[in-house]
Amino acid sequence: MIVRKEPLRHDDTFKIIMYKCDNDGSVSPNYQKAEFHDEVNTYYCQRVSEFERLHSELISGNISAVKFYADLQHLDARELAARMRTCIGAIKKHFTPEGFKGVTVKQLQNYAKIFNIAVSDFFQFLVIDKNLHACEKRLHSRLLQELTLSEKS
Amino acid sequence: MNMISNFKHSAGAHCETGSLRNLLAFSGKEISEAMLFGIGSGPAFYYLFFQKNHVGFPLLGIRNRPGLVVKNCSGFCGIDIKTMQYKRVQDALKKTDELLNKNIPVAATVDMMYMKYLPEYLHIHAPLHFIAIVGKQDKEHYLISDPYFPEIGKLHIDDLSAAWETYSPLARNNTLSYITAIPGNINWKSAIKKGIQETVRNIILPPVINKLFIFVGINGIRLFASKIMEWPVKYRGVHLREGIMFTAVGFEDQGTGGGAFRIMYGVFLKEAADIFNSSALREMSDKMLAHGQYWTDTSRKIIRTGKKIPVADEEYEDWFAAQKNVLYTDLQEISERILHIAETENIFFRELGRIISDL
Repeated sequence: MIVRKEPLRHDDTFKIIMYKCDNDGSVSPNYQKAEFHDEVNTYYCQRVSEFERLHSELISGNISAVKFYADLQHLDARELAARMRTCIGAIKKHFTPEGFKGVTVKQLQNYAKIFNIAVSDFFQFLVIDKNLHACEKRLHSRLLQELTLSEKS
Repeated sequence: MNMISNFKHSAGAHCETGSLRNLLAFSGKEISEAMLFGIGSGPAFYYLFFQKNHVGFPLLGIRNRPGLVVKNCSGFCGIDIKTMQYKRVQDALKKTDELLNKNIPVAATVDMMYMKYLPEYLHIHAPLHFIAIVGKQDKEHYLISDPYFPEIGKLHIDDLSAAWETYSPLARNNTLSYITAIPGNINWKSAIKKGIQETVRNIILPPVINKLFIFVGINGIRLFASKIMEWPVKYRGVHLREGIMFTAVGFEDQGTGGGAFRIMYGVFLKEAADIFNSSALREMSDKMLAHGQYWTDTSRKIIRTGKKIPVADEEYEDWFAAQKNVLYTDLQEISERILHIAETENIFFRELGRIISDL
């Protein structure tokens, strides 16, 4: 997984369509910032805290990489079992570091598809400096990952 | 091949109505998003306490089941929409390619997580996002008309496949739809009437059914209001904060057009009033717009409450010990506002039902 030292910042230029009542009583759809757009950066900070908490759990060996991504993406065992087309018990087993050792490559590939990551992301964190740019290419249905690091211009 | 010819992409407040409006415009019928939402019987309320949303709070539905707006608009306006579901995503893609080659755009329901052109904060597992597939740039990329994005988005075939075939219990895997025929003259009055009557039935359930489905319609709003005081007991720290914030964001910014879809419904009633030339409907439109604004004000109150909770989990216990009373007072006020919403909608939709049956 690519971890950027620089926290993600919300691009204020992104707008959505909202219906707003004008003073004259007319209502029309307008392109504007979301009602709570200023909360997005707080949301990103929360995601960073959640990432750090789960990362330390993973490093300490309390949870598996599957559990790490499941919690990070708010997918519970039931939802994940439906998406993996398996039973909840099997998923809960994969949530433990010991159970993770028994996950097949095919299952990892399916998990990678659900979490929208590459298979290699289950085994490594690539921490990159803010002056570097990482370009990722996923090959062979996420089994291979090609990473290119370059300096930001 | 590239983008199909003559397709005009426009952003929309909501993904289902926005996509449908764009597809209808391509087929030569200009209908507003609000009108489609109203005819499609959009407004609803579900408090699905047995199903959790992506932040762990019970799932709230403030509109009817995804797909129903398209189904109702199709049925009530006489628009022929062909829908097909495939076992494998490869077959759905093959059919999509065939249709695109015939210059026909294809509607699909996908998981938002994989829509890479959208900003990062919208990358959540929501497997009921409506898009229209409107072209193919090369062998590997599809062109997407997504109402949440101002331009045409580009999606890799692997991402589209993953988004379309999730096997999530809520998803409509590998299902595609396209418009086959639109009647020359749509009977607007009949379609509006049917749409409103269906909405009234969805919000004010028949007497016996509302005892069984206490989580639907007016009773659902009341149930939701009664559960708000339990939030600090069931959730703590970041989960409580995220859950509270997401509730308000869901009412306003998650493709509702603001005010939990009620403002858009008010606009629909205004358009309906013009078609029927009815002052009673115009008055109802004003009431619904004011109600939508009240809902937005309630969302703002929810956000202010959520903002008070510390972002860092480790600060929560000390904060809660000191600010417990403030939090409960805020939640009490939110609960009362939601109850007020329930009572307003109870009176409003009964009155709307009476008015529409007289027209």
